[in-house]
Amino acid sequence: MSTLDLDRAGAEELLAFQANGTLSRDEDAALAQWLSQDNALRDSAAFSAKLRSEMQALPMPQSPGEFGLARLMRAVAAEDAPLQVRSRRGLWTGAIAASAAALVSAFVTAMALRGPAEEPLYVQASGDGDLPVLTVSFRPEARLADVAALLQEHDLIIVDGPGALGLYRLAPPPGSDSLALAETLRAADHLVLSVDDTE
Amino acid sequence: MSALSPEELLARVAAGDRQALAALYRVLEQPLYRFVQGKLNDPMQSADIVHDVFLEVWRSAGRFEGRSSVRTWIFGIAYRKVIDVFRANARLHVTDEVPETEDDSPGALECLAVAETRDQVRHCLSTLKMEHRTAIELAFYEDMGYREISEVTGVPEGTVKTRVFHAKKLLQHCLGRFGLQGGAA
Repeated sequence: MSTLDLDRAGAEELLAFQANGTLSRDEDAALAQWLSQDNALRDSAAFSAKLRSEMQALPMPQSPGEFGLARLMRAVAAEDAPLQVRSRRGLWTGAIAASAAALVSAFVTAMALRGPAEEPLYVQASGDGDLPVLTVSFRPEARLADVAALLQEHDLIIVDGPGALGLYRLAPPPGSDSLALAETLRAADHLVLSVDDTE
Repeated sequence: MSALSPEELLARVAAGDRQALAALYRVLEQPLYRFVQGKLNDPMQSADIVHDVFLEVWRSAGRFEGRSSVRTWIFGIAYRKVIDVFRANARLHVTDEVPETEDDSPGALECLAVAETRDQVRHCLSTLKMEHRTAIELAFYEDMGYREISEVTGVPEGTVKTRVFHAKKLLQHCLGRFGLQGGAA
């Protein structure tokens, strides 16, 4: 016997939480009293349970997973320790380094999240020696989504990097004007620090 | 490490244990990504937000006071970051108004019986407004109670119950329409 005063509208609002098993004992008991005497409410309860079951059966979207973890660990490695044991100076140093480290792995994640491509994503740096390559560095504060969008907009593919200095080698799409692409990248100076098109 | 509870893992994170952070990431990254991606529908931006959430967990683990569960606390961080994105893009108009629907839906159980594919459930979820979708997803994906959902979203418990109720009704109606269109009802 429940001591909870529950009207019908209140009972109906609890059905979803009965379905996921989070009601208190009192709430469960009060709801059971309503369900024993109301067919429409029983239908609604069955719908809640079925809907929850259908939603839980939906496949998880493809998340960054281990790529994202690697990115996180690089960012965290640049920080000394959680906030309460860090000095203010350490915090700033850590934040800057973390941004840089996050960018380093941004491309890996970006490529991992990219859909199937008609052309190979990666080109051997040792092969196709005649193809032009742009050597590019990015701003430490650049966001993954923005950098990935820039690369995808111009069909640029990472063929190497980052090196010790944070440089990436990007392959322009076949038939494109690599000098013009280099200028386009330089113009995106909110993301790009430097572009070398001498290769 | 993976056998530890999120509360135990967070205590280790607060002490600077990176492996504990990795274990916490492995437990919560997928549901958090689903939660964020469901609102933003942008894989890159969602990946950035989940990354930022775990960085914030790393930085502020020592300030967690245990007034809610660790899972609720972390989902709350993610929810606030999603809201920030919506505000920045001027996409957010939170209201508890419920769209009017014609009363032509079939019986409750029939709705799901005729929802032949998961795509229909997914589509119907995508038609919900942000606040309704958030409420029903936290209730049915994450099995959170209304008190936990209230902590994540920062709205009163009564509002959470109403939002879940309306989300369920809207889904019932949407799924019913699929059934009627497919001629299976």
